Amino acid sequence: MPSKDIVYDEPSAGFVKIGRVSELEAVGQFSRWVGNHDILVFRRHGVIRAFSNICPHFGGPVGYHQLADGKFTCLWHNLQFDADTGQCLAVAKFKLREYRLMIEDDDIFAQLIESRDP
Amino acid sequence: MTELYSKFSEEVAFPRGLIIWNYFDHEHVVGTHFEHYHQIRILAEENNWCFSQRSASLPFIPIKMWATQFSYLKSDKWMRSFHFGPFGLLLEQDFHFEDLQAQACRVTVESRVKVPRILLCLQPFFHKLMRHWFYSVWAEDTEMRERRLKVWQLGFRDFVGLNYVNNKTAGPDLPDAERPYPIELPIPKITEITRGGVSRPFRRSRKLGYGLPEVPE
Repeated sequence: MPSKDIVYDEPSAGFVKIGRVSELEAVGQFSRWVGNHDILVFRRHGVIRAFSNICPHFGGPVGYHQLADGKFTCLWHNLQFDADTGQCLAVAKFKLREYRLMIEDDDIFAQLIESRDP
Repeated sequence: MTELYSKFSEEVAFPRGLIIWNYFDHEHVVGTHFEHYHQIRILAEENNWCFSQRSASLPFIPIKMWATQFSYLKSDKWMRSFHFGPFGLLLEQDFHFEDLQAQACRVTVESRVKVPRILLCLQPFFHKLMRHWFYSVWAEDTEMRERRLKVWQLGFRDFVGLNYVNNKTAGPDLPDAERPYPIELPIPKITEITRGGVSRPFRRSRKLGYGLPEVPE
């Protein structure tokens, strides 16, 4: 569902297509730039979720390697993030944003903007 | 004694500051280059120089080799590196960074090593080794620099990220292609690299890369 911060005319407004469920079949995750967002989509415990793929450290790709032991490891500096929470395991202040998703048939949509505040 | 020598240049569409950031960001050695490097430790570092110890697998030589390296920025367009390897070998390298445009520069690398005269026959191999190593590592760095430049132009702040992502607000319509990339050394560290050193977390992985192309229709 859309955020409470924005009132949309349609329930699906503000959601942007970011990929297909079938793209998860191969290894259970993929990443992709959509507009100015780099989004990491993955299936875990049967649930499809999406985190920001941009490491808050220097901007490396969190989903470069396949998820292992419940952790994503950023390629550049090996910072690891818990796949359940998006929390960095080494630097407490680093946490990946989670995107709200909407699944329709084979299509995956994400809400890129949830707040009108600057 | 004689000298083995190698020189080559490459033009890149990155600002000079980003290239220098890449060379002085030593923590990425066992991240981005995890297939080449095993371990790295910074023994000492100040603003424009770094003394480090690292182990790597060189091309054509299937053994793990340790070397200590001293690099310093002689000027903001010239980096010197000294690699102290096994058998008393000293590899000296000069990296020259020449601005071409605001967001592009030419990198020229000169490498020299002094060896007994009898080893002069290794000159073609030395040049081949230097080129092979340079371009193997360079290819990985190029992807890293492209991404770094992209997030930088979107307003990325180190240790923060992108505000519009974090705050879930609207982002910039267009990247700021003119955002200056300053040279600020030393690069802040997040790991044990300046104390006990750091190792690559794995030798190989299933690599999914920097992402899929555009959303399919």
